[in-house]
Amino acid sequence: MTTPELVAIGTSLGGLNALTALFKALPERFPVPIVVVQHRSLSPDGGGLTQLLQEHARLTVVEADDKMSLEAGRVYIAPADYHLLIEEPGMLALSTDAPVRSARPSIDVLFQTAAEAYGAGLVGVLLTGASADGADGLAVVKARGGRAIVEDPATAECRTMPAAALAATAVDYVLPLSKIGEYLVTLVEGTRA
Amino acid sequence: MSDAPFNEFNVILCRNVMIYFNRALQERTHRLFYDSLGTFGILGLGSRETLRFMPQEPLYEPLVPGEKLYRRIA
Repeated sequence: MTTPELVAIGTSLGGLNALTALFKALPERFPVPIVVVQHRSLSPDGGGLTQLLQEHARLTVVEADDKMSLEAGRVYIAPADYHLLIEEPGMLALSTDAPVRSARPSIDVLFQTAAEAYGAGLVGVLLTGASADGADGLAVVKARGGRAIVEDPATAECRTMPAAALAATAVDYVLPLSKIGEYLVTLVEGTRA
Repeated sequence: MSDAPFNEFNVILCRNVMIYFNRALQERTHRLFYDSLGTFGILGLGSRETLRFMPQEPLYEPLVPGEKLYRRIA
């Protein structure tokens, strides 16, 4: 099995609670970088989400800047009103291109660009949400040989987003929220032992 | 980008344009901006853009904490 090199997470409605629960399960020395698109409002309080998530995470949580380098053990949050892209392995980029499916940042944009950069080394994770964003992106993750994990709609605060992805793509794992963090650790650390 | 500096500016605002450039072209752009700014001239970038990874970083100081406004100091 290919060793995962990047974890990309997408979520919308209910995402703050879901990400908080997920990050509690991840160790400080998680061996790969994590990139996150959480749909969010355009409040001027740009760092609020990042700070909230940091309070519950042992990992270091930062808001993404353009052309930031990706480092293991860090979580990069898409800033409000920008798309977050993977420019090349190890590097982020931002864009102000038009919203995709009414969303900016768009989960599809992150998943597609991450899949192009990382191929089989990518793990895509889709959590709770109230739109179908992420379904197309997760299909690209699979087409490029990466792994796809979707939250069990039964445990999702809003089942629309995980259900849309499950309808669109044969994903690798459907897991309750409480198991996803633990599973990521097993997947990422297990394959590099 | 192939032009030489054509003026000495006091203020250059360039927001959310260089995010579409790769790092090499960003460096060229920052060199041109630096050469086109007078000493103590101001450079304004987009809210998620940064000088942090550029060779010109030590040549500027932040003008307002938390904002992407920089003053050329060298």
